[in-house]
Amino acid sequence: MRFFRTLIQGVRDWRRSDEVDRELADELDHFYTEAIDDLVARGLPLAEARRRVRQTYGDELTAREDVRASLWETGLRDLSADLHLAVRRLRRSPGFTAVVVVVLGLGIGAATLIVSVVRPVLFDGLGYPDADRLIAIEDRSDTGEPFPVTFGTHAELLSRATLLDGLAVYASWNPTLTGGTEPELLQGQRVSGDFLEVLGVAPQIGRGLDPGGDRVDGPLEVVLSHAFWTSRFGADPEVLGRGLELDGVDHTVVGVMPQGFRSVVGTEAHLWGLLQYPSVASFDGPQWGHHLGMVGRIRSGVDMTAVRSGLAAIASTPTADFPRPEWAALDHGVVVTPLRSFVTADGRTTGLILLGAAGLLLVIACVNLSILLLSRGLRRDNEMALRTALGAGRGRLVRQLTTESLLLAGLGGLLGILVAFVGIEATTAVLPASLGGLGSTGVDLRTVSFAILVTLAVGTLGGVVPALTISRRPSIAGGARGTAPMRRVARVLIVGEVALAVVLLIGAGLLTRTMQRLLSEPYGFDPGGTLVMQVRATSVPAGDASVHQFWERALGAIRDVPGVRSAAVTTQLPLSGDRDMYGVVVDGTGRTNGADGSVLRYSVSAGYHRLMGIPIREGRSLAETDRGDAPPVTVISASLARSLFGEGPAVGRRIRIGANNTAFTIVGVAADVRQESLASDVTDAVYTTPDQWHWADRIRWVAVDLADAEVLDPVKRAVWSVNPNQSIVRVESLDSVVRRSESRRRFVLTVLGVFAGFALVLSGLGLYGVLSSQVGARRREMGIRAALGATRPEIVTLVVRHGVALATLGVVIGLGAAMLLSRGLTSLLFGVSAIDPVTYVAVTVSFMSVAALACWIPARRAATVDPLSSLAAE
Amino acid sequence: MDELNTDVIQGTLDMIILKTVSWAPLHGYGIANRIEDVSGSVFKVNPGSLLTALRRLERAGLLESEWRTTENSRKAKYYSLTSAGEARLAAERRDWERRSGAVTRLLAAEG
Repeated sequence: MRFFRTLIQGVRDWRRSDEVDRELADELDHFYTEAIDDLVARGLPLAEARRRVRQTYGDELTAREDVRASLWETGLRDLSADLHLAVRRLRRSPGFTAVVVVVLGLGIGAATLIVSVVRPVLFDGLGYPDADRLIAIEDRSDTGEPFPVTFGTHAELLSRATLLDGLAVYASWNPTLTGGTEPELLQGQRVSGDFLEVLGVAPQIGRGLDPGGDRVDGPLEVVLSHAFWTSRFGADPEVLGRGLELDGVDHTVVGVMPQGFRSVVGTEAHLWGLLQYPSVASFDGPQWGHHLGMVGRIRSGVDMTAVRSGLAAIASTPTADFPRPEWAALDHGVVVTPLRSFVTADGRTTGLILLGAAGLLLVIACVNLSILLLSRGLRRDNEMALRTALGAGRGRLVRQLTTESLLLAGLGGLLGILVAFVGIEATTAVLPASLGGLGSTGVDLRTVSFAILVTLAVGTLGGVVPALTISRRPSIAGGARGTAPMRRVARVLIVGEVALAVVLLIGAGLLTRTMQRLLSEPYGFDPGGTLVMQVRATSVPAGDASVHQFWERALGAIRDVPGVRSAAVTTQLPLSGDRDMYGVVVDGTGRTNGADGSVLRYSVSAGYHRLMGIPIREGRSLAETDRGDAPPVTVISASLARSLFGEGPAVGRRIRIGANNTAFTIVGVAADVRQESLASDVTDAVYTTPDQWHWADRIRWVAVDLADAEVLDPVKRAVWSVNPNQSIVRVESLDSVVRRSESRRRFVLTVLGVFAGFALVLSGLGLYGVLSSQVGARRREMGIRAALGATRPEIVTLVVRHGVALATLGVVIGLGAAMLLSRGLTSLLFGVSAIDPVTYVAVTVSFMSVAALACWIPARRAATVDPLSSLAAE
Repeated sequence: MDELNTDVIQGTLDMIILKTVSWAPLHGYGIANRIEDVSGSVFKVNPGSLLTALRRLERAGLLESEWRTTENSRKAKYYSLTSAGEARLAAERRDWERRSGAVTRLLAAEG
């Protein structure tokens, strides 16, 4: 209560502050008058009475300041006076103000954007109860690489892993919603029955999936996300029991997840259905395919080490109850990762790099602010000296100057928040999956508070150094001598700024070189003008025969479209994110390529290699005649041929792919194709025709060589003419598939590039500011030099040499720092060393050119100093 | 100047002011004078701390003030105790007596 009364009274007094001041003066006046009167009444002469009163009670003015200082609103009044002064000064130099505000605004805005973007990956939790007990489990290859597990492994671990409270598997699921007007592709996950329980989140309405339902004849039921329930069913509480026709099969809605729930291992998923595989007793079938992710919940109180060794023990001791095929024998154990690291692994490094870059940029912007304020301070030198002479204390001067920088930062911060709000959508749109996958990026209260915090920090840090330096000079003595400390500080700052900018430039340079290298590296096929689309024949009637028939007719229909030069299908498309791998052994010898299951399997139609521009090195490609009833044949990749047969011939040999029942005869060897990324060296691959593969893949890519892009719609209609219920997605040119495959590097490169360019401009600006103010402060020296006969080129050289020396020192320090820091970039680099000499030289050269330009302008001004007027100015 | 300590004991100035104006409304100099007189010049109050304290007490609602004309027809600001001030004074006084008694006993105690 008392606090509020004081507050209210303070505000009231503040608003009538002149009156309050007068009242205080009157009251003190009365005090002293009475005191003197008293003494005079006792017979002292007036002068003596005055002296005694001052001796006893001190000076009246001091007393007034004491009382004023004790009132909290006095601080506010000084602040508002400082603000007024700052506003007036900034308005007097609008150019300076605009430059600084824009610089700070862009810097703060960029940092805020980056923080919004990396927050989910670096700082946010998973959003599940006891999420630190969740782990991801993967199979381990003989080279130690993790790869997906099989349903069979899940079945075994589920009953044997006693240190876990729960263990679930999942795979992505993209059913087509049928029965409506148009087929619509949905994003979901197929999971084992206890998946949601393992994550620890119960449905808001209804129940979770049947825990025992993950078997072939299990129930066809789905749980929906809150968003899907809202958009599709209008948040109807009576949704339970309703039907949903997926891929032509009726599914029953049994539950709705709470708002905000998302599966971190499938962030786009909006519905969950059951994985339903045949018995694991048979090795022949998808139940033993490596295509599942696995999450487990550690029993409470058990630590990670115990879980790791427990699972390793199970892996190394197979039992008769759980027979394992050789390609899922767990010979090399399993890889156990905390779920949080598992889902953020890719994004973490990227996030840290971006965060580091944003930090650097902010520091640069802050140093730049200091430099600009200091340079202006050099010119305002006399104003400061005058204020000191008129009685402003150093503290008051520092406060005034800091207020000014805080005001600048505040305006910059406002602009920055605006930049962040405007830019977030565009940034999110180009975000690589490893950063955007966890979702929930956005500018919200927390990011805005971050921006405000940064603004205050920049304003204070950027202002305090120049304030302390400038206010240190008490006398009005002009000329170069008095400004020496200021110039020294300015030199230190500019060297620092240049060094920081060089670090950013090196980072951007290394990534540019990486991208060049990646795109010039052969990736095994020729995108040409080829267009691709994924056709999901998921609602073709059950049975391999009908799927084969659909595809044969669809491909025929596409080829009949006028304007289509050729068309082919493949089950996985290079660089599209597909990853379908099978174990391959040489028939008879049992030799493998050394990496358990890691051979890419493509089922492709005849003509695929030609259409994709994949050269056949030996033998032949697959042909129309390699039908289901013909002898099984395969084409393998050059790298696989090398690892299976060394230098010996591959054509004519026989291999077994996946389940052991069929031996394929190798009829050709194709060039290596990069499947996963341009930087990936996994190129071991086998190609078969769809007819000869063990089952009929429903989802395939169609690659079409079009004479003209206008033909696209007729191609889609051709597919639908065969069966109207199939969704067609991801239609794009093969060229853009290639480019998008490098979105992570490209994003980091763009950010670093923009930041580096900004930093380059800023340090040029800083260098210019420092030099031109120094030239200003040394006018007299220049005048004397000119008077003593120095020629203009000599003076230009003098100034330029000074600036270039500063820049060189900064560049050298920056190069050293970059050598240490660029190691952090290693995971993003490809074919370029972190201390790549080309990059370092290029950065040095470009930086020195900017520095020279920044020095030349003030140097020319120095050279035009008229000796007479400069001396007369003193 | 003598080396006697004439500063008011930290924290007791408020109580002393409240007590001083409890007899009758007084202006600043009157309060200072009264404190000096009554304390036999043991305490001397400088105007800076006095007026600061007066403002603090007024804002806290323990004192109220008005401008009046003095007997020698000057304008002066007179302070008087509010009812909240009276209550506070009583409380402070009890507290002071309890504590000063304890201190006295401690100093008087032997062995």
